[in-house]
Amino acid sequence: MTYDDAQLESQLKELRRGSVLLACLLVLRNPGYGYGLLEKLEEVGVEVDANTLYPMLRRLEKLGLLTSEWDTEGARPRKYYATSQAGIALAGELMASWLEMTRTLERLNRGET
Amino acid sequence: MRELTERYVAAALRSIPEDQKSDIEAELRVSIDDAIEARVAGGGDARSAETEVLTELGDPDRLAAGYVGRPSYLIGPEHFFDYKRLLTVLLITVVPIVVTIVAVVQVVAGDSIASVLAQAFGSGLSLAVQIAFWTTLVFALIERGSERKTSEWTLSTLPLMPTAGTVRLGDTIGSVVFLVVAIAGLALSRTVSPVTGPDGSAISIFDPSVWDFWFPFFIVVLLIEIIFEVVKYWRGRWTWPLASLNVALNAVFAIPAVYLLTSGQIFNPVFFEEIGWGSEPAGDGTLVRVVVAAMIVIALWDIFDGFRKARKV
Repeated sequence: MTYDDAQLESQLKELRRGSVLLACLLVLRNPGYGYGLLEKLEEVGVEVDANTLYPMLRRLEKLGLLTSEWDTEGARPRKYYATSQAGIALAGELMASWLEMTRTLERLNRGET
Repeated sequence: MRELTERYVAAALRSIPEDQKSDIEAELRVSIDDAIEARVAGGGDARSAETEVLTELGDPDRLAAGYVGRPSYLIGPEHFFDYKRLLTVLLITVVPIVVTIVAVVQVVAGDSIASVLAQAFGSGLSLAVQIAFWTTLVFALIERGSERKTSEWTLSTLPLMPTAGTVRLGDTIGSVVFLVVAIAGLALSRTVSPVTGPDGSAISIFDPSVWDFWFPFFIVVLLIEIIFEVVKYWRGRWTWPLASLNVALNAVFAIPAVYLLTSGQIFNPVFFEEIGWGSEPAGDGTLVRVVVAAMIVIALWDIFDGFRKARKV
């Protein structure tokens, strides 16, 4: 009995769900725009679809975790997002939880309880 | 001008509120342009780059729903169980009651059985569809309207173990169906009979005078019992007040019924003469004694059973 690719894919999706939000908050401590962020995340190995990321940015902005600003200086106007103070604080909490979970899972993997 | 992109953006913006449109449009457009440009820079041709980028973005309606945080389902997990419970209760209660009322009215109006059945079935079906539609609509609106959470689930609403005096849906349906049949039977007995008089009209097994007051009264009591069954199901279990009410309902039905039976007011002597039993059974014969005994036993058992189940809870 082994898992198939579809099962792996759907489980990975579950695992990644929370990590994308955290990754956004961390990356956007340096302001960035939609496509730039998408490329950046891909580059560092965080898999996310454009149609998930773009709505998420707006949602996080609405929640006050990101701030945004239109930059009309460049060749084409772009909306730049940056992690707000509240976002940075939340990212810190989430990061701590994430590391804690990783340690727990490693312990379980080694067979300790 | 990229034609596909134009069409895609227009489709995505369709369902976005006016005040957010320009902002989302500008952002979406530049994101698409950036993505296409990156592909072209990586050595693709512009046309297929556009196709790929838009395909990856997927259904524009879904994207738009994501942008405005609109649910992409009719009734979500937050409300689904409330929806299902309410719909079930409405369907198993309102529909039988209304069907019964329609049938009774038709029978009293003297329609044929075929017409009564057709009308009752038709009204039952259309009512069920109406209930399902409106309930679904209301919940779909609630889903889109309030941010408020639904009633918090607490342990106190936990159903009891199925053996301990809980009211099961199957029992409720069974009781309601029985009551509906009883009501229909009483109503139909007026115009339907195996025995007909010389002029071809039906001779009812029940004395025609029962319709002056008592049979309409009994039908009302039976309708109340249907409501009682529903309330009991809604409550989920027998309680002391329900068991007490059950006593009252049984008494209100059985006491007049026994009195009428023993005083010879229920059965129609003409009916029994026609089938050759003589007029005796209609008065104080074996039939009456059997019926009276059965009614008393059933009523007492039902009362006892209610308290037994209430105590178990």
